[in-house]
Amino acid sequence: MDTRHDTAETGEDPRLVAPTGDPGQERAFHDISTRILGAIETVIDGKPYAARLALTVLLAQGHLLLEDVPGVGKTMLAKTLARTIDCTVNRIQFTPDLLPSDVTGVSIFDQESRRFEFRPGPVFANIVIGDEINRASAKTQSSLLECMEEHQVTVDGRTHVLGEPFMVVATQNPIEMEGTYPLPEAQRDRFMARISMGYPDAGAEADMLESHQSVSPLAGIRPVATVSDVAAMMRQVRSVHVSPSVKHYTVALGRATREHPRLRLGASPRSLLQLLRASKASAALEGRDFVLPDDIAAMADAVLAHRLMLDRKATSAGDTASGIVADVVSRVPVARETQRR
Amino acid sequence: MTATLSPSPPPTAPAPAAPRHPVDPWHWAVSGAVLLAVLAAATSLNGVVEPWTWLLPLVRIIVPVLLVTSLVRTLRPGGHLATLAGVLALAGSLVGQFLPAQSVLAVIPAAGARAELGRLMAQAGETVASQVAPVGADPGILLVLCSVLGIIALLVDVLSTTLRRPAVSGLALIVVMVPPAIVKPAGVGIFSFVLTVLGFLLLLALAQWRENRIAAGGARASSGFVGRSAVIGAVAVVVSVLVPLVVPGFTSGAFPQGARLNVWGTASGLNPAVTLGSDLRNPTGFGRITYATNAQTALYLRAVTLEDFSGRRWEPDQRINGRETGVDTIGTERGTTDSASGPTIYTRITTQSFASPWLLAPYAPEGVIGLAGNWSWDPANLSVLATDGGSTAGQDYLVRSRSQTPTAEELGAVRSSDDAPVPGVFSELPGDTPEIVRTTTEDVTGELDGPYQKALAIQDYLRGPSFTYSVEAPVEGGYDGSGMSVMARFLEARSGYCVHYAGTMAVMARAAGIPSRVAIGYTPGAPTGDVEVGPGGLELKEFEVDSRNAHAWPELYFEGAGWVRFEPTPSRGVVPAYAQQAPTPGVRADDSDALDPRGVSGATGSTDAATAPADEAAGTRSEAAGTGMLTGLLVASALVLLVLPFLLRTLRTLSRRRIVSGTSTSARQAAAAAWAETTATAVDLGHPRVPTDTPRVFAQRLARDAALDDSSAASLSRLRNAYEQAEYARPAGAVTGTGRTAGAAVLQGAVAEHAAPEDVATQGWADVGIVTRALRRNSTRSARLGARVLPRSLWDGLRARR
Repeated sequence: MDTRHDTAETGEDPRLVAPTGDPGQERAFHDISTRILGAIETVIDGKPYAARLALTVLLAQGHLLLEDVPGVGKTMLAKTLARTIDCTVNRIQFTPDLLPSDVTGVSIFDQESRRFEFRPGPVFANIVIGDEINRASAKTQSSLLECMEEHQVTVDGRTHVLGEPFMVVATQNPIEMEGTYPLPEAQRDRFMARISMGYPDAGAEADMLESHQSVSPLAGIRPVATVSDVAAMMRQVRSVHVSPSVKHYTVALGRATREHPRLRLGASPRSLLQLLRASKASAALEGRDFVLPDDIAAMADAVLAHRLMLDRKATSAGDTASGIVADVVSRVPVARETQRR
Repeated sequence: MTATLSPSPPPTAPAPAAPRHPVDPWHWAVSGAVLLAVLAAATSLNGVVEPWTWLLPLVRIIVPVLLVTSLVRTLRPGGHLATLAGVLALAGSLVGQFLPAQSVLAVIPAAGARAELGRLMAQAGETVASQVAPVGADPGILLVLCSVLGIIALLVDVLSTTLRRPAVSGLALIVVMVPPAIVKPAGVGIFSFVLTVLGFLLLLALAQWRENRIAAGGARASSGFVGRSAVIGAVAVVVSVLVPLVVPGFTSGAFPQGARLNVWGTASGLNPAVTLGSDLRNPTGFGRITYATNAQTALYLRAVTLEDFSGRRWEPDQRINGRETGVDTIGTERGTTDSASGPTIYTRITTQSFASPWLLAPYAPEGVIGLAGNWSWDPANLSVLATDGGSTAGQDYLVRSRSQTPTAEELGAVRSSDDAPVPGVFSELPGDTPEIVRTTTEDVTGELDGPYQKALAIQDYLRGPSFTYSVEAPVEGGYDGSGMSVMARFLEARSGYCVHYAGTMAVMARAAGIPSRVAIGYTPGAPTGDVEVGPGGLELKEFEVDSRNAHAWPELYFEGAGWVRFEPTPSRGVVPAYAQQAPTPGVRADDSDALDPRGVSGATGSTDAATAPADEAAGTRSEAAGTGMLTGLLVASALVLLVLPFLLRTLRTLSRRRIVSGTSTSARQAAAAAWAETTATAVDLGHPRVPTDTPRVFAQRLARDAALDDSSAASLSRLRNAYEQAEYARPAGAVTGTGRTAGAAVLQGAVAEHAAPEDVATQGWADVGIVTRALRRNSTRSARLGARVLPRSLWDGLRARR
């Protein structure tokens, strides 16, 4: 078990960040997001998509699942994202013997005050990095569930609310690897998006070997945004407009997965909601205050693929969930509101 | 309407320009064009109503109406107050012009106005029912004319100025041309047609110019639009005039004779002599009539006679006095005796759709049974006329008649007398009888003494080789129809059809001292082969005639023998035996059983042989005209079908352009229309659009496939951005407290990539033009042609609608 605080507490209740009415700060949406992505890029070479998706999920107030073989920079991405924001970051290394209380915290009897006092676990942070989440037991995994969905922790009958923003970035090895407990469907559904890092290309890999030789690149990362910045950005994302036709398109995509002949389980209504939220964040990152069908299509793989369950025939035929999402996207017509003239 | 009737804002406060109805002074120009266009269309009425007398009253009605509407528009733009004012102005000026004595201040109708109005309307109704075109411009007719054209002018004005749909107003202008197209023998005519088209184009051009001025906020006029409209218009006019000339089957330009509407079948209330020419020129016969008769000789069906030659145009005498009601038994004509010999002929006539107030009957009728309605007969000429507005349509009746069977000997024995026992109207020549008629008659009959010999000489002169039968020559020469001057022109041109031959013979006969009249009806038709049983077990052979058998022939009066038919028209009808040259004494009966005129030329052996080629030529020409007409119609239909997709596509482009440049459309509609036009052009040029394409995907593929250069790609993405904004962004005005935050608004400003739809409006049509030109440039010639001839976007549109 290895839990540690990467940064000190800011001393400020992150939930109480006042809405910024300052246009100057809001104009900074684009600047801040560019700076964050730029900072990540100095550490993770050649993975702009992964970096952007991580930021998208953060702004959409979702949780991110990074899935790939060990050593491709999953943890590094999570840590870099956390470092660029001046917020509390905790990291939990999941192991088979990790207990739920190691995640959520415990109540300890204080001799002096003769009362039980709650000691918050590592989940009490703005960004929680759950390393190798599929190595923990199902019980521990599920203790994280409540935190992710409810943004709160219940210990000994008492509920402790988590700070905002709150984001879990979990990494996991592919389930074929030894000593892993596959995440149950319910838990996978809690993650807004899943991405595979993939190996960097040759050039980026050579650069990485060069730059990471002497010092950890993480050391050079300085926060470029505050918690209140991020909270303001989240508010902006929430206000992004979704036209009825885009909603119809989203629903059509979801229904198409449910009716897909090679899927045992299609996209849930919750997943469509998350798809819409992720698309809003994506649109905002592009400087738009409205969602395009293109945003939905672009987010569909990351948001939907890890929730779909292929039937046996599809699995044996070598189909992948991503392939099926791509197939669905290429078949569903784009709805339009205005009649073509 | 309620909104426009609300009290106007105080004059001191500048009226805020409603977005749909911008303040603009340019509507004056459009209303001016409306005036010109309506007057241009009205020129086609010349000839329906007496020439030009109607023009000034019409101007006095239309000008005040348009002045008032324009004035109201200037004072209070927008709304329909101008229309209401226009209606009042129209009513006021009509009252002022037609009911000045029954009005207050010459605009408000006062006591007696209603009665006077009723009187004028009744007068108009009477004129329409009794006169033939051109009708006299009496106050009743003028009132109707001015009211209708005033309403049309107001309609055109409202359409093109208030509703800003000038193209639709063309329909109203067409309405003006419909009556002349139906009534006038020569149709609307090139002059009026071209004038109307020019007026309409001027209206379109000025209306579009106004749109551009409004769109540009009056900053500047769009360059070259009027010029472009003029070029398009000129091309359209030239094509519409040239195509009928080039395509076979059209004989006289726009609205050709053969293609004229025949709403009422054949002659109906109109002058039969006028419509006769049209009937003859119609290559497809209509108004089929069948008759079954026991006559052994060629039977002419007679409807009416023309005997008063004094008018500018000959008309059937509509005398009511002197007519005898009841046609069960018809007495004898004045000047004839009961002793007229000849067998009694029974003829059963089925008129079917043929509608005319005059009844068809073989001469000389002795009684008609089986008729519906009230009929009367005229002792002066034995014509049978419906008395209460009835007609021959759908009648099936039996006529008992006595045939004319004088012999040449009997006729030759008749001496001329100065006091023939027939009314003077049959022998009077008007004072303005052209000199050529008298001199020609003198030349032809000078040395002969008996009236019969003179008549024969005139007939032979007209059937002679110097005259050719033609239904076209009078139209081209401008003497189609009847009238003394027409006959003079015919004698000069020596080419015409039955009305001219018959009329000229009748006039020359009078000049030679023989009472005469022109009968109008039908030549014997073709036998159908059917036989029916008539009264007394008689065998009645059935024949059929249609408009192609319409005919006019002269009837000359010989004392003692009565009215005798002659046949001066070569290649038509049957020359009676008594009227043939070198009469064989004692030979009675006409000559043959061959009642079909085409089979007659051989039988009428003494007919001048020189007319035979003319007969054949006429027949061949008639057939050729029929085939030509069919070919012309087919070619025209094919042409229309060929250009239809192009036209539809162009209309769609124009409509979108209107939306984009229009100020009454929202920015959202403008962006959608601009994008729709861009994608449609791309689809036409072979860059298909699939339903799963988002605008972005389509634009990317298009820019790549069409190899767009940077500037046109930039235009394309501007259009796409504006469309995305219009399609997917928060609609303007939907900002709520919880909805759009300041942050959201700023998001858009942070990255200037997104053009608001407003940009499309200001950018106007320019970006669409840039992309369209780039797409065309980078397409193959065949793709460009395909895009013009068969635009695929039309099919896509149809599919999308299904």
